[in-house]
Amino acid sequence: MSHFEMNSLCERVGLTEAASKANVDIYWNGPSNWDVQRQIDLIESSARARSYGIAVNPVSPFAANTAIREALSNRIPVVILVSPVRVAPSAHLYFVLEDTKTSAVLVSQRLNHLLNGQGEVALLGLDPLHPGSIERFQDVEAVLHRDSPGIHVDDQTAGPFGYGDLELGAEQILHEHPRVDAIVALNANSGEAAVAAIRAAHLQNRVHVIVYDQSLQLFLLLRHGEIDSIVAQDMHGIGAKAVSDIVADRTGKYASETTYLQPKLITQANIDDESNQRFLTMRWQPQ
Amino acid sequence: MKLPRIARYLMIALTVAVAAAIFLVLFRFRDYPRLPYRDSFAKRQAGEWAPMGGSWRVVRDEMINRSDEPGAKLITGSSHWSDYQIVSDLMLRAHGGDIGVVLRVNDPEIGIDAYRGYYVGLRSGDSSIVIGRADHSWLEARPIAVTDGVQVGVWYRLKVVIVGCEMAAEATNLSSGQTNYAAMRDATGDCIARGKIGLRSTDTSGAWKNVQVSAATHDDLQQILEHGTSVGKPEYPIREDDYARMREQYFPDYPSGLLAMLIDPSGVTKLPLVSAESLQTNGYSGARVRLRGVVTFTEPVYLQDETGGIMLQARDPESLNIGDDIEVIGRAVTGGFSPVFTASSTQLLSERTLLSPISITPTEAASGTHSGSLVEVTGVIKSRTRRADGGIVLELAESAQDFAVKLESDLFGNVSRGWTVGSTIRVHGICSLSPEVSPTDSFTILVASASDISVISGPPWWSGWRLVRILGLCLLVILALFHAFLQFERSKHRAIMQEREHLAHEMHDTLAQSFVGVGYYLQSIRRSLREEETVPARAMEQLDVACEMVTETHREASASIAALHPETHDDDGDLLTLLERSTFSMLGGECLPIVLCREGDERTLPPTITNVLFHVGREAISNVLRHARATSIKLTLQFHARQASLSIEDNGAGYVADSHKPGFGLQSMMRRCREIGADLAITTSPGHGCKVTVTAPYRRRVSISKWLSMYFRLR
Repeated sequence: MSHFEMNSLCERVGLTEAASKANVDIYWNGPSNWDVQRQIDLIESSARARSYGIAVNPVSPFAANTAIREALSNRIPVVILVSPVRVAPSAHLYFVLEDTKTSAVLVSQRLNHLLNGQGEVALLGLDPLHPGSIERFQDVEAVLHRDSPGIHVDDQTAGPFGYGDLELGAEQILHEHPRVDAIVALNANSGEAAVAAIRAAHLQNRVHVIVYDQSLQLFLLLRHGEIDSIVAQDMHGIGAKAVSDIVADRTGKYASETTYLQPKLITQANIDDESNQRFLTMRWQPQ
Repeated sequence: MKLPRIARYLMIALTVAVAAAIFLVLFRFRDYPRLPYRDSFAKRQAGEWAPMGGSWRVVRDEMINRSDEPGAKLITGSSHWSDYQIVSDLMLRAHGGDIGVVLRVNDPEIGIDAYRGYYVGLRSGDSSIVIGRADHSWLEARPIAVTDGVQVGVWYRLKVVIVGCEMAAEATNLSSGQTNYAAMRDATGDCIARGKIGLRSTDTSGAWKNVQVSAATHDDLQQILEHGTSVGKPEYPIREDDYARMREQYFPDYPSGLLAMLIDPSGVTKLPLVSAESLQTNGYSGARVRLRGVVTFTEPVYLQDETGGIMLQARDPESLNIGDDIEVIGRAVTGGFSPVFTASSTQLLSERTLLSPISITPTEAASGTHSGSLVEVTGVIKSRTRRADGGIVLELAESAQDFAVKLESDLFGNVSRGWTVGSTIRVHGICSLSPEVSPTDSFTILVASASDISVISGPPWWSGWRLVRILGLCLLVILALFHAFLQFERSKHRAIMQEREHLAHEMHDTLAQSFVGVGYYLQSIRRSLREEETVPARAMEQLDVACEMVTETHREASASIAALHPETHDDDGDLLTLLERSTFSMLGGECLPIVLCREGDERTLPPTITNVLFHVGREAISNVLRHARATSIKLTLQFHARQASLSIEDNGAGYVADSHKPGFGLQSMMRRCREIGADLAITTSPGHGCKVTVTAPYRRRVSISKWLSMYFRLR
């Protein structure tokens, strides 16, 4: 369901609730897909409009840097959400990020549990141009090496250029590494591609899929048993912290430059827990 | 009745304010078109629509979006439309995604759910009617399963009625006749009351035709609700578990069918999989190969993978849309500068894989390394040409490179209006070095839609029509200032004339009447004394002189009053008549023939000119009577095209003109002439009489130095 960009909806819930408490209006928009220029345009127009603050979920690690610096030079607080961009630390600049180390620990623990400490794993969807992708990849590899020495990373397939390439990459993993026990998909698109490849190879009962990032589509696949687990980001918390950082900056109060928010590992066993459902709430309208 | 000046100004201000208010009201409600509305796609017209993303074409009577872009919209109508029904035929042209119509749209922007309004559409993923509310986010009612499924390539007639906070939809499969219904009540507490309409697609290509909008009532809504349609409310997705339960209950097969477009691993995979770059550099062997990529352009079709792009000749190019991720089997053939991939088979892998353009400089584009790729280039418009087939060609220049931008059809003239010569624009499109496409330019950017061209900045202020407009504006300001100055001068002149008139009345009522009284008493005294013989003769002579002096002074005063009193001229005759009367007065009963002569087309002289001519003429006549011993006077008034002249000619003794020592009277005449820019000429010689001519322009010509001196005098 393309309408339901779950990450965005959850993030907006946090933003809206916090903004409502702080009596701040939210202008909400974003580019279709990974349209960097569109995001730059939106940042620039927000800066020109002298917005109270700007919260950006970057679609590129570098491309929007100039626009961000321009906003900062106008003393507009800017909060970078979820994944870091390579902007030098500056006054009025804040980061509210995914705790990729905790994510990697959750993935490692789950793989240990599934594979009893022994097995082969492939990582799918490394995209250096996608913010946060390298951090996820490096942390998973490092934590597996440290905490699960019996689990080996067999393949690291880069992407994504498109869904077709990702799906082909997943097929090649299954073809070239017939003993692979699990695929860790570094983003939602890679997760769907991995499921498609496993279906095509009729390996649903043998190869486990762990996916970073939530979507309603992925949760349905989780409920159907085609995905083992999902590393769900605290988008609600990220949105709320972004507003509180902006308000703190504007009112001269202290706000930490970088905040890491911990993800949760959602499995078939715990998806219906009330705490997890609240974690995933998408009620974006102010109550 | 003449209104006071302040009242006139107030009237003018009031009129301007009312006109401005009417203009603002008309501007506010100028929205087009009005209900009922029907599209003009059959006439290949869509000027009233505004695209927001997508790649739009009109083919026959259909509006087609050939892009999988999420949330591509086409908006029209009035932001004041409230309760209405929209009917449109629509068709999904690819698997996945949904297409439909948007209602009560406000604040639309490019983006997936970047608008405030409602959306009703047909979704192929779960074969449902989807109905919900967007507010730069999305919330929908429970989707209603379509009985025989939402089929690709089949026309549906979608009718949506929105009245108050309720809306109902009726979707009819025009092939099978099967109709399904859905309804929703916006129970969020702040339902959107009014707004425009639009066409919208997400993750798929779609077609629309026969779009009609008309006013709707509650009865229209009821007609759909009578079909037992349950009225939903926007409630998904709020909780993941609610959403999952709804899916399990109403769409139990979902999502098994969603990922069905998989690669067939048998057979074709034996062919080598090549990249676009390898075909560009060494792929001319003509061997059958596989190529995977994303469609980035449709007319002609371009395919791009992570190494580059290539033109594709497919068997069924109409089925391909921007964003389709496909695998093609075929051969690369020479296509001029760049190869062309001729595909014998095409397989759709997935949709909605939209690529972002690579931002490059024109020189990089001209180098050929990005030929066939989706790029973003910036340049300044040098010229703009509209082709006979409706397309637009822009010639651009940047960084020592001249290149062209081609847009095949300009459906939305309201967008392209801003592409003026001198503007800097940013263009997204396919970089083509094909000689057929760009015979004279170094390269051409093929643009899919007007929304792929964005204006970064307008032309510099000193360029072209802008400069003409600025000069025109300056001219208008100067004219306005000049007009204001003239008005000021006129009002000042009017004030002077009124003061003179006032003085004339005062003189008439006091000085002249006093002279009359003094004269009367002197005459009475003289009559009384004449009866007594004891009065010395010398005293009687002095009394006679005194009487004459009073009479003379009275005449002088009357003449001055007449000169000061502009209305006197109108009432008592023209300039020559006044001068004649004045001469008779000065003669005191003596006889002197006066010849009056008028030449040219007679016209009313401005009061200032009349006054000067009168005083100068009177002074000249006075000189004749006192010194010339003339036996006749000829007064001539000539009316020329641009000036009037008065000449006073006598046949008297004449004199030797001495320009170095003008007398007091002559100085006075010259001073008066200077005031109105008139020329004074005197022609005389001993024994041949004298001729004094005053030539005064109707409108005074003033030099810049004169203006400046007048300006500083005014200050």
